[in-house]
Amino acid sequence: MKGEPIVILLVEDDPAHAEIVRRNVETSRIANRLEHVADGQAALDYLYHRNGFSDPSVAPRPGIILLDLRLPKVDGLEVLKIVKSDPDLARIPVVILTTSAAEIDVAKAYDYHANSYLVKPVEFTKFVELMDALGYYWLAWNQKPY
Amino acid sequence: MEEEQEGTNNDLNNFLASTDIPVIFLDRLLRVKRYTPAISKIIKLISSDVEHQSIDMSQQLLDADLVADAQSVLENLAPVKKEIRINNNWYIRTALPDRTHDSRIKGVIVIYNNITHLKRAEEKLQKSEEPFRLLVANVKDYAIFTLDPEGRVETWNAGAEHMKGYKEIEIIGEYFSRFYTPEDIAAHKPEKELKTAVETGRTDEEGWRVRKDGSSFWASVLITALRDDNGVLRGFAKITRDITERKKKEKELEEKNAELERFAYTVSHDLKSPLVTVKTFLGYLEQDMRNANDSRIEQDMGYIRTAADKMAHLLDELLEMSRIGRMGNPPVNVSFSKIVEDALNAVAGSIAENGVEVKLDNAAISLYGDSQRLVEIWQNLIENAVKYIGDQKSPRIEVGAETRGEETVFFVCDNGIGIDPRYKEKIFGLFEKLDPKSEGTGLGLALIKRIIATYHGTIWVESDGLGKGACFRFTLPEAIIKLTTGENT
Repeated sequence: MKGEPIVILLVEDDPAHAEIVRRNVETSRIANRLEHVADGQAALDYLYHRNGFSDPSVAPRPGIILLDLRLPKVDGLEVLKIVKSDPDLARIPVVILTTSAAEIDVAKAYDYHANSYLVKPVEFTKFVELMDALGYYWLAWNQKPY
Repeated sequence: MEEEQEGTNNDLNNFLASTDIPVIFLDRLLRVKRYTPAISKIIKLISSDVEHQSIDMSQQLLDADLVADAQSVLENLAPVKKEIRINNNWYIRTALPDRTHDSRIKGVIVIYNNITHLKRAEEKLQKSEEPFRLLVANVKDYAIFTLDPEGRVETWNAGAEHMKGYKEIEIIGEYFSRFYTPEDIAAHKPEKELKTAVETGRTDEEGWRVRKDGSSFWASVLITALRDDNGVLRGFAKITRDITERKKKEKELEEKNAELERFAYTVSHDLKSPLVTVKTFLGYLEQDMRNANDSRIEQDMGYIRTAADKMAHLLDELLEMSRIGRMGNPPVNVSFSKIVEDALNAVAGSIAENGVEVKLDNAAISLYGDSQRLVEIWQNLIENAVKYIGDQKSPRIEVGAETRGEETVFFVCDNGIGIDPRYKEKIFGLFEKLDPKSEGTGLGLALIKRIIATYHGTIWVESDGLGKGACFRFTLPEAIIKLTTGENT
């Protein structure tokens, strides 16, 4: 893999979970750059270059968004809805990464056109495996939309 | 001619001898002229030679009014018809003038028509119907009434009057659609219900019905088509029950269930989250210990510790939450200033630490309720205010009460970081936090909201936006109303 690193936008309010993702992404063999925001409002500010994210070098367009659902300020599903109904952002693959396996959340996420829905595993090895598979699938195998 | 007359006489004699109808012919002096054998049931004529005896001389006359009535027939020349009872028999006794061919009155004919079997049947019917009639008339909890085939009210019971407010006299003959809401009338619901009843025998449903005074109630209604033995529609029986209370309870239960579901959902999510952290960082910890990566070991343990603390804190607050409304202390009269004092004592540490000045207004109010829970409201709000006071140079919290209209509105205001107007609702939800870095579990305001709800109050926040401070305002109607009634008794 060569060329520009893929930007991953991680929207995660739990610092510990963000750290888990960060560690996994760091050890990944795929060139990438992880950008972390901790709430839904910040995610939208990042994507729309508002409030401290106006510089494109600070907030480069992500190749993929890892989105938690229960987020402070603006809920994850709301962020998803906004992203998927904006023609400029809709093509960015959005992978839901959450602890919730509730049917309603899964259904709503797909209704709002989430590209994938992943439940954070409670087991360490599984979490690592999942992150590995996620990296390969979305960052290596998957054909980029542009 | 004479032969003919004799023949008629013979016929009459034969008839009189054979009939079992008591008949007696009296002359103008009320002396016995002729009679049928069956008359012995009324008058005990002892010897066979009774003719020309005066009827009023008979000691054996069981029909006490006969003499007077026969005399009245003679005087008024009009028949007298009467229902009389002799021993265990009922008769219709007809006394009529006995006229000659040339219309002279020669006496009185008295005929006794035995109607005992009719009377018995009638009595029996009345007896068997009475319990039902009384039942329908006296039942208060059910409106039981009947409609004619066109839907006009035909009968009306006490329950119907009680439930719908119309008296019998004003509702009989009225079309029954007036018990329905205007929307139902516009949708032809009354007619449709009768139609279904005609077609299928009955209609039952639940819906809003309207009383005479215009108020409405949630009713369970059963309409049954009434048909006679030949299958001809005679009308409808309508039984209505007011189940507003039950409906209300059902709705409350549904809301409670929905809340419980939301609760279970959020709890499972919020407990699972730290669990994921603990398990994952235990995995890292093992790795990092093998590699003797000391700085990472430190970091891993930090995350595990934080997650475990979070779970403990969460469980404590959940327990606290479940206690509200379920477990409480007996209500007492307690002054507002005492409540605030207790609340301030509980958070004295962080107030002093942040150098916050606290001002108390209008503390002369008295409250009635579970003082510990009431203290929790102010304690949580003051704690919150201190937590979000920001870098304010002269941090200040104002606690007090004011009167808005008829309501007493309490407030806890600060000059801290304020709240983005967009999140004014969200902050009262379970586990909602605006600042991901804040230490709380996001239960504090939800907890307060619940306590306030037990006093039928509401809470809202007013803030001009970020940096402009925030004012939490709330009402506690039950805690205030009960005080005044408490004083009167």
